[in-house]
Amino acid sequence: MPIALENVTYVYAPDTPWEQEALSGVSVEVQDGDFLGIVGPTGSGKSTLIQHMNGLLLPTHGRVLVDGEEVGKDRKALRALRRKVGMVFQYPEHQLFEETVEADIAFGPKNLGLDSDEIAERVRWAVTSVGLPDDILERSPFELSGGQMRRVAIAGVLAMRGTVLILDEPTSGLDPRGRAGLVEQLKRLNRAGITMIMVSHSMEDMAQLVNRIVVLSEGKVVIDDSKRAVFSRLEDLANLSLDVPRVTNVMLEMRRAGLPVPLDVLTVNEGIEALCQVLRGSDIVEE
Amino acid sequence: MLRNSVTIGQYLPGESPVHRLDPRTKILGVLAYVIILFLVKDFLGYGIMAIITALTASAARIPVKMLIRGLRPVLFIIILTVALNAIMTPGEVLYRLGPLAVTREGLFQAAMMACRLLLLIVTTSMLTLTTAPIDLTDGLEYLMGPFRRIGVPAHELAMMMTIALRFIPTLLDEAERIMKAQMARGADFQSGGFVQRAKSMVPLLVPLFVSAFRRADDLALAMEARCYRGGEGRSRFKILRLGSRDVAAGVFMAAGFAVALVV
Repeated sequence: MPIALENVTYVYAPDTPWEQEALSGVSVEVQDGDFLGIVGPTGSGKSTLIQHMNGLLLPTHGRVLVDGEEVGKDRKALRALRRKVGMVFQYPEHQLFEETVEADIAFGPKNLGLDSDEIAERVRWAVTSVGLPDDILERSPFELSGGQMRRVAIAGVLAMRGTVLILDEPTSGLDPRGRAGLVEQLKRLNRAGITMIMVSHSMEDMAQLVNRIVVLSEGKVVIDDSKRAVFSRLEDLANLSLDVPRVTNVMLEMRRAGLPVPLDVLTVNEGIEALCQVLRGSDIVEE
Repeated sequence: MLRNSVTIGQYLPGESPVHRLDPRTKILGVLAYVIILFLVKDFLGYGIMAIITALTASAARIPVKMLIRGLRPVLFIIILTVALNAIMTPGEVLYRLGPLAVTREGLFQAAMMACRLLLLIVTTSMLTLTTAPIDLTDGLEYLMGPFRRIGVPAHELAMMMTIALRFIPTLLDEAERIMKAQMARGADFQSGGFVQRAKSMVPLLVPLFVSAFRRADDLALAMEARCYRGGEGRSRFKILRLGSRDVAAGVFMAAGFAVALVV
């Protein structure tokens, strides 16, 4: 189910003193199976952009096409769209409300009007998908740890069984272990065929997960490229006060110190390999 | 956004002379205005009151659109009051429909009421539009000061109001976010009967209360960490002083009110 934003402009609070253009002329395309990353400084329009992808916001100008259909033409279609495009907001644990984890995850499927067998099956599947044990289902979501609450909330969206999943800062505020676990599960979900769109400040997450990155600044798309190409534009990113993965930075420093290492290095393992190669190469020269 | 649909109590930042008035001047001015509004008995008086409001609004550089927008939520109440006044007042019957009779006196009464309500709402909303919430509560604390002797907890009341005002936009944003999150899970807040709709609020209200309590807890802790222990002996960061501008505003209002009462 490809998603395409065509020349989308969105104005908050039009005709008031608070009027503000959050997006201006944004065009982005997401293909099936993509893992798209969206980065940009605070206030660049990231959250506004993703809310267009499941019809929570409708563009002031321009249009959004999901599966070739224009979003917002009729209200009924909006609910169907939200079924297919799941959305995990920032700090999703703040949306939990039921007495048990099971009931909370079942909220979405219940709204779809499924029968109880199907709901139970989906709840179990969703809870496993986010790497939580079955016995958590009976507990109250409010007595879980932050990382567990986050996963329960994500499971609640997964249980809708959408084909696209949008995540806004899914790893923020998690400890390193919680983060690593969540990254693994997101990777797995994408491999299972779910199209993923993720907003994040963590370039480490971006390096590990996405295949394409859109960089937003002041409501405009400034870069839209493969992640390797994006992370090699160190200066452009620095100008937007955006980071690159730490390994990439280490490589840059080594390059500055005179080692001819490559800069398009995104993970620690790649870094080790590249460094070994360069060092071996220089050894040979010395011999 | 949700917060933009709530105009009552909204502050419109600006640098106009009205914005820079001492909040106490504005509070007392509005108080006097409201009292006069209920003493005035004819349209000429209302006309003069309307002129005072119009002059203040133009001095404050508030767009007319904003003022009208603020009237929208109370439109129903105004219409209801007008309708009730028109048919409930005994007198010379102008038009009769079944048991309902519109009287000449009723129409007159209704028009008076409409003027009164419109001016009341526009003028009081002008107070909040031109005064930052923090200044407003500061002014109230000063004004309530003398009543402390008879046991009015002036500082505590002002602090509670400050905090409440501070959190209205935050909680509105939060409510909107939770609503969207639940809508993304297929929740429906719009359709269904009354019971159905009330039930559909649970997924919104529970997380909203949880978050409000969490915020309250955090705030209390943060205040205590900075040695807050009530108003006793607390010094002020901002000290209110009446200036020549306030004297001028006072004279203008007193003159206006006097004329409105006399005619």
